[in-house]
Amino acid sequence: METGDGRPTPTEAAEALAAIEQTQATLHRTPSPKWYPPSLAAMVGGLMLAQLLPGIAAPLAAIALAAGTGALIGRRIDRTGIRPRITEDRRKVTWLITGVWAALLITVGVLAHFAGLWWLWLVAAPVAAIGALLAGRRLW
Amino acid sequence: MVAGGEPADGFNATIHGPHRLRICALLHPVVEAEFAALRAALEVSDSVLSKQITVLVDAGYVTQRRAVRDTRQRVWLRLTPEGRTAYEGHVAALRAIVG
Repeated sequence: METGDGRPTPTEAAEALAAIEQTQATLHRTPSPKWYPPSLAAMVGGLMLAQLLPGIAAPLAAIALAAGTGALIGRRIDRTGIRPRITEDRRKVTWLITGVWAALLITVGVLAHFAGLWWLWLVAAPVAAIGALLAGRRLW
Repeated sequence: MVAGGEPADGFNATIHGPHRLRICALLHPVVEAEFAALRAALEVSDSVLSKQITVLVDAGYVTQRRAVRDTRQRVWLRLTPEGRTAYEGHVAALRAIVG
């Protein structure tokens, strides 16, 4: 029962707040497509393995895979019908993970080029892919 | 009272309708959501959802964007800055009422 001016009683207001929480909880239950985390992992792992390609093929493959990752994220948004808002906390974690990937890419790149440790790409690829798999499930 | 006829404490009769409150609750934590995703989350019919969204659009709280995907037209909805402010004010007013 509302008060005379159309405002809810404390009980009704509490029910409305509970309804808000319940409704927002459905967002967290929206399933991500099953293909999304492994596809993201394959893209990121492929980005590392692409560095084994000779000459100009390596940067071209990296550009293609980066574009593919963007397309993949767009496809996921289309499928779920929800474009999530990047909160400040999530943005920080995303930058942290991206920084770790970049550091891995540069470190392995330097070691492979100057020390001949090309096989490190074979180690870096699954490490980066597992990171993408976990991040894809929890964050993106 | 403030512009738009809503009380200064943030309580908003337009948003307070049960379906409209839940629509705003779903749109608040996201950039935008598709009509079908909202319908599934709220478990209401197309017509009910359309009617409530029209009220929110007319109030300037929600905008619609039409996009075609796989030959199917889809409607994406998002809270306007005014809608976001009004919803946040309304939730604060509800919390104040609860005490």
